Amino acid sequence: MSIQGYLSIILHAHLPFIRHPEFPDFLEEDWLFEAMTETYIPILRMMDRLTSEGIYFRLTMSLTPPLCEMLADPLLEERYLAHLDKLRRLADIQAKEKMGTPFQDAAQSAAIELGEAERLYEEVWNRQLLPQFKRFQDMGVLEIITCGATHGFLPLMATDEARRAQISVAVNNYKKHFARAPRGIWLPECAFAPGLDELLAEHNIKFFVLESHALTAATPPARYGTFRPIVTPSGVAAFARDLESSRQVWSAEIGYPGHPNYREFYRDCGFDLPYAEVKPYLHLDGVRRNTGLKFHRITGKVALNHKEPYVPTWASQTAAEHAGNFLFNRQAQCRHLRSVLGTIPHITAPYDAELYGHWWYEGPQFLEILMRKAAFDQNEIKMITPSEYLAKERVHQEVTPALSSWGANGFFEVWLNSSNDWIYRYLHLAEEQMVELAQRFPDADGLLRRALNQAARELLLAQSSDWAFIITTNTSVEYAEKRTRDHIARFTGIYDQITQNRLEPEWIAELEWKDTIFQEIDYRVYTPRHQRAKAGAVFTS
Amino acid sequence: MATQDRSELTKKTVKELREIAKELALTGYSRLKKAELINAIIKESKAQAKSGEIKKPAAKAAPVTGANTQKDMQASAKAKTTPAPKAKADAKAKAKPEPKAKQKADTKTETKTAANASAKAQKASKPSATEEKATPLVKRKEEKLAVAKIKKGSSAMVAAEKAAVPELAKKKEAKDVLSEADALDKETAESLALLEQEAAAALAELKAAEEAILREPDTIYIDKGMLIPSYVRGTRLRVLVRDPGTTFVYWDSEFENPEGWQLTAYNRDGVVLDSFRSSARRAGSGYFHIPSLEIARVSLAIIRNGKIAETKLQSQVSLRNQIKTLKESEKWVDFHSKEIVHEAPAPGRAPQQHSPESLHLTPKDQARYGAPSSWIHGAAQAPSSDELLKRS
Repeated sequence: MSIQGYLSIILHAHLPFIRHPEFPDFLEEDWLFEAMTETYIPILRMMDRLTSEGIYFRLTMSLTPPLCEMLADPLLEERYLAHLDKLRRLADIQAKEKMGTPFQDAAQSAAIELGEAERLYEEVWNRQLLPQFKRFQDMGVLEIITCGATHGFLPLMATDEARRAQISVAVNNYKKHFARAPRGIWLPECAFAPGLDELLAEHNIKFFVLESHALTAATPPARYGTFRPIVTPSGVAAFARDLESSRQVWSAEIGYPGHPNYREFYRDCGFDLPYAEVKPYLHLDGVRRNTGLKFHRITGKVALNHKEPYVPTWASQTAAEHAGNFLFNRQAQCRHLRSVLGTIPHITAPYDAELYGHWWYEGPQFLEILMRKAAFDQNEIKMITPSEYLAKERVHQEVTPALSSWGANGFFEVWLNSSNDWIYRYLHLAEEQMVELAQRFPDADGLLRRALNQAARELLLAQSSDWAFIITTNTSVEYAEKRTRDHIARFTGIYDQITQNRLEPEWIAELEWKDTIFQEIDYRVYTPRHQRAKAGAVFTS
Repeated sequence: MATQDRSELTKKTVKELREIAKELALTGYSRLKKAELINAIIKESKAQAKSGEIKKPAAKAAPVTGANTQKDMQASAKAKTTPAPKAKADAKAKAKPEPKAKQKADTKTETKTAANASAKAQKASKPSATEEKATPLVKRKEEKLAVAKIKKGSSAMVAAEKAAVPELAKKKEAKDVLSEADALDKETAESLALLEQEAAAALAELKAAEEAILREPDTIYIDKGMLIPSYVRGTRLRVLVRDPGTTFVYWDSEFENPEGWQLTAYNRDGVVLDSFRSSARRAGSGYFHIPSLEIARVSLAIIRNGKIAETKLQSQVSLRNQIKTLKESEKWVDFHSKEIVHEAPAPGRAPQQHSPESLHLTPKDQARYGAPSSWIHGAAQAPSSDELLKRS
């Protein structure tokens, strides 16, 4: 049968910039380390296998600027290796101890996987993951897109200059890491408000990703709903999330990751092993926490202490079954859509990358089997990247997408509610002050330039949507609030020193040492457009 | 150590290379990549061969003991590295300069806190008394075991070793050790029993110490983040659309002696849609729970002496960036050339998204699959892209 539809799988890989050189050991840095071990490395290994076997596949990933900066940071590379080595040693011990028990397979499998991850990271990839992603992009099987500089929630910013800076800094950072300009962008939290597309067009970005109702409630309504991209009035294409393919993976009730054979996330060796045994593998505070070693399966809706041993082969079989089911449903969906729409539908299936591997341990296996099945078992669905699709299909409806985000309830409530709305008055003032500084000092150099660049870094870091999100979800609230306060206070401190002409070089140097993100930054990205045009500035992307 | 051969070193794994580097007393070797590590080893081994002596390993940094909570760790590190900037930045973040006396007092407090933290850090860097006590115990135990091993042969000792190590971890397992030790001769058994008692006591002490450190200490230096003022400079009113039914508004003011505020939302014709009052002083915020699309502007009025007086503060809802008015036409453009290919009045509703539940087929359903009939409801037949291209 001929092609009935196109499928773009998009993985959004993002973590906030967490790097604390001032502490020898920092709990929240584990977020990156866990994602590296469980998601990024397995996905790279998957692509390695597929390409070495010559299997056709296409994948799109947004690697956000903070994530890229952390992956390329020598301090975090060093700390990650120590973390991984510690975990691998614990896994080796457990593999021996669990011999002859029902946990034998789970423990051995974990030890093998971690050993291989360590070998690849240290000896083959030379501690560098970004060049590996770049390699696959250069091969044409992976499309890497960018995101807001620090994942700032663009519609809730007060000034166009601040929004523009988020895009501009991201584009420049992408060029630094991938040696070319990005074609697409993942709007942070898929948050869209009319007018944002103009900023994307300014930066020569060709497409972005939206939540479903941005198109189904667009002006005028999108004729094909989410099943074809649209073009905004500024000429940028937008792909909207397909609810069905999304729900098959995300849904707590019907989603694949909840299958009883899959590995249980919440039962961890950090709590199961005797304290003396696990203590050397915990943080310096010695408090029991998840280590990442898990030997139980979901089992069903039972209490954690009734979870049964994890059997890797059962989980792999289930992942294969689910991959087949996912593909089958896409084939059926596309056949029907094509008959009704009279055009070949395009399915956009975006997910958080960390779902695959970190939350859903078998996620990378699912993806790999899906790619293999799509290549060998059928010819109705064609995997494609958004750029490839746009090169193929030229004509699209022009619409203005609706106000939307992919957060709970579809709008901005997650990032603006009574628990976190206090941050906006500070962020907005800092935006205005940064614009003022950029206007006042169009050509700063020396210490003043360094201070202005650092002020821009602090503002960008304060704007990260992760802090507001964490406050709402009530997880690491203390840390998120502290980060917001710290960056605002640091920004305000720099602003005061600059405006009162009393810069303290030591303090600026300390901030540069702490908040190292975007070494390439140029504070003049905050210069208002009209002033920039007059000066003929060339620092934007 | 003999000068290292590059080809041999290249064959080795990074772990093995690190071992060699450790033997050579190289510093900072764990940060080196493989090639750099090889170079460093060759260089160092050559240097040592030349001088005929091996450097002593550099003294390890004082270990941070388990007697620190994460907070203490952070505090001690902070105290070591950056006590002053915090004080500086806190002061800078304040909108108005503090009176001198207060500043002085603040500085004093900071210094004191930093000094406390520093003392704590120093304390933390030393091994605790319990650890000092426990370490020789472990050593003595190891020595005794070694002697016994020689005396009694290996088989009994394997059992003794197996039991002796967990015994250090848990008191209750000490009984197992004793039962194993019975198999040994009297002398070894007695010494093991003695050790067991001592180890158990030391462990109990350690456990108590561990429990103690998990509680927040009386004097703490928690890096809770820098202070920011509860309001920001200036007078402003800003409105943010959160969703179609909710609009957030916040304000800062420098008006004197307000008793409160009244916030009013108007539509385009100036008709009042909703209002609420706030008793906030300098800064406040609130939400309008009315259709956001209808709000054209919001105004702030001050309440003083029980009377309401309008201020000049007004904020318009930005239609450009937040809510767009509806257009009733349909336009198709060439993505590359940006030319309009087809434009016509919109025929009606767009195809609706199908109900996801109706589409999802489980693997079980897959066998008896029949094509769902109502994925898209009431969709007008749209022109295909081929047709559109032809029209152009």
